[in-house]
Amino acid sequence: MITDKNILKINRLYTLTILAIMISLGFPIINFLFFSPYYDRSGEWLHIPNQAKKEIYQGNIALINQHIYSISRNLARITIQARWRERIDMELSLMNDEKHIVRRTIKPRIIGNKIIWEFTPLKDSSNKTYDLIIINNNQEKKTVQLSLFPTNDKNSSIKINKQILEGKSLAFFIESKFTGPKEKIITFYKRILTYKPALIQWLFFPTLTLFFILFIGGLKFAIKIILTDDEIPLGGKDDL
Amino acid sequence: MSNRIIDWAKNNKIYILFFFFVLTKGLLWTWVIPPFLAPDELPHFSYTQYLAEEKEIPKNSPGKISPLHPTLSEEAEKSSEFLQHNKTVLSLGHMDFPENIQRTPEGFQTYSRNVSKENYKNSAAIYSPFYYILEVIPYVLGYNLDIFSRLYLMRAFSLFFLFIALIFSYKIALFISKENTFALIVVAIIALMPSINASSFGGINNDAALIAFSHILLYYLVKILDNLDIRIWSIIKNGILLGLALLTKPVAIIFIPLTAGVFMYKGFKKNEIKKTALALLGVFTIAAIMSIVFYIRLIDSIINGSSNEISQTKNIFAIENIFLAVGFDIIRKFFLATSIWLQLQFFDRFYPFYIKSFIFALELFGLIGLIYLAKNYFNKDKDAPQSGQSPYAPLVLCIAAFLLISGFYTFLYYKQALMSHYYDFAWFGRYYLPVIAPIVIIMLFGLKKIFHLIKISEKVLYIGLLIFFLFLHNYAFFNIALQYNYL
Repeated sequence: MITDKNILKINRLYTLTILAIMISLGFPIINFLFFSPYYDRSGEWLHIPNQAKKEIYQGNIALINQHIYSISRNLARITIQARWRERIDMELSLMNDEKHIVRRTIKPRIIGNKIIWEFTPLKDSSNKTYDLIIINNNQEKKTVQLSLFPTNDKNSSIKINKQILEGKSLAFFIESKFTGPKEKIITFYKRILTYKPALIQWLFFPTLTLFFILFIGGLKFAIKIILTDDEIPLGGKDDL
Repeated sequence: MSNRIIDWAKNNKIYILFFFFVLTKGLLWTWVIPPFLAPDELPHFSYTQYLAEEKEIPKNSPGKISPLHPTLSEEAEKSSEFLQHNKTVLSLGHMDFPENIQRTPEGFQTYSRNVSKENYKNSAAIYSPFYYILEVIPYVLGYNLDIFSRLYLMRAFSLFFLFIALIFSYKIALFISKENTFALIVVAIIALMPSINASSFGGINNDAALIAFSHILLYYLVKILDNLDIRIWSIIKNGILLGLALLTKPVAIIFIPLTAGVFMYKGFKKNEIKKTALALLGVFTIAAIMSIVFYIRLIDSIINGSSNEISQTKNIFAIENIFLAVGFDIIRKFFLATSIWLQLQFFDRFYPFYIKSFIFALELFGLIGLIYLAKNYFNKDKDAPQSGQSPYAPLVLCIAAFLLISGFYTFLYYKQALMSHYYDFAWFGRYYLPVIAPIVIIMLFGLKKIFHLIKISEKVLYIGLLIFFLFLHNYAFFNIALQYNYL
């Protein structure tokens, strides 16, 4: 029988279920689609064994030159591990193969021991090499502390004050940026099915859809069970 | 008959829904982790392949063994190169996806599956073949398929162990709490943890069998607390369960003192110490008969292997040495506090701060609640007559299980840290999953106590936890596993 009390209970169940779906399913999907646009990270920093072999470099640093290789288009962010106390005296630039400066900044973000330089994506950066140039304009040059990693690639060796440090690379990684969620979905669709057996390629998206259906149905059912379980104490009762 | 089935289905709708939810979720996780990138998957796959192809148990040749470079068949070697395993296995990056992506790799049917026995090295070969014999079943079922199809089939088989672990976690929680909703929340939390999905049941790993058999054994130990049955069949059953757990992975030795503790506790309670000690001896004898051969092999490989190089430090108990080891141990434990729940390849560090903080808060409040429970226990009138089993005993068993596994890894950590200056051991939360049901149960009891104290309905706690762990699961799936493996 539908009574006012029942309607109230049903309303409470639906409101709670919708809220729970928004938090537990809606937020992660929206975050994935709209708020994490960076992709294709690459750089020596990402190789975990390197992190144990990290070396701190501190000296009179005026100029740093690091060769970088971009695996994909839309190169848009460089993260460097370094302690740089005076951000105002820093100048970062990116030079292409033809020795043209394609991006430049004097105001990167500094978070802890990370320098994060975000710039307008370089559309044609796929499979191209660049030189990352960092100029320290500070007279007290010891304000800079760099992290270096070992590298087997000769071209990746860092130059500090025009001197090559063989087999050592700046601790950094680069990332590209999607222009929008549509591009992200297309790239994701291509990649998720890569190197998978035909059956999984065929089943992946139907299974994902089934997961969403079961998720919503199961969540509603679970909330209903909790709300209607009269054995659950209302608080204050000590069962142990 | 059909009416009975329909009635059963109607009465058990939540379990049916939960089964299909876990199945679809589990399959998605096994498909999303790229091949050979689940923890130590290449050595575990190679062990199974060796068993299936060479029809004998692999044995390591003397010398140093690396989990990153096991002896491989030509087929496994080629696929590992193709998937850039060496580049991606210990990396925060992902494999390269060229512009013109080839969806299904070709040519893998022609490579040899035989493994060279000469100079054979595999970090997984120190384990008994128990789990790997079971994994041979999907390997053989997919024998005519390429290596990738076989690998995904073997991964899907891990879900069988996941269901065992979940069923027995539910039974343990129900037995302890006597509350169906409590048990459902415990099992939902376990099923939704990213570490469970990505690490132990998302790939090929003997952890899957270890976790499953540990939970069966734990359930019977909890039951013993309620009623110690020392008839022959019961002794045989407990002996076999302990033996099977020991055959999965050496960490199961923590169940030896736990079993002894439970038996002797009941023996003292019932005033049947001699009888109980004899029953315990029977249990241990059966377990030893089942597993001793492989433990002798393991001890032999530890003694003859050169992986434990002892440092040249004159005094391993030098004060600087101890300080360094203790310092790293504190950091390790701090890291483990979130890693138990969150481990996902090496991408743990990409979880946002608020998720890690919330987990710390849950653990902290759970601990405070447990302290209050302990206070209640010590304050109550011990002389008051008790009807039946004390509700505290199963909780103590859960705490003991956690402390034993923690103590086991801490011992191994200090051995490596002090003797070899190796501080990277046992940083992975997945190592604690054999006792995950006890961990979740004690945390939930602690949180319940806090909610009692602040006079808020447990319904709020249950719904809050359910939403948080559903969110955590989806965050890990979409924003960590998909994002960092593919984009």
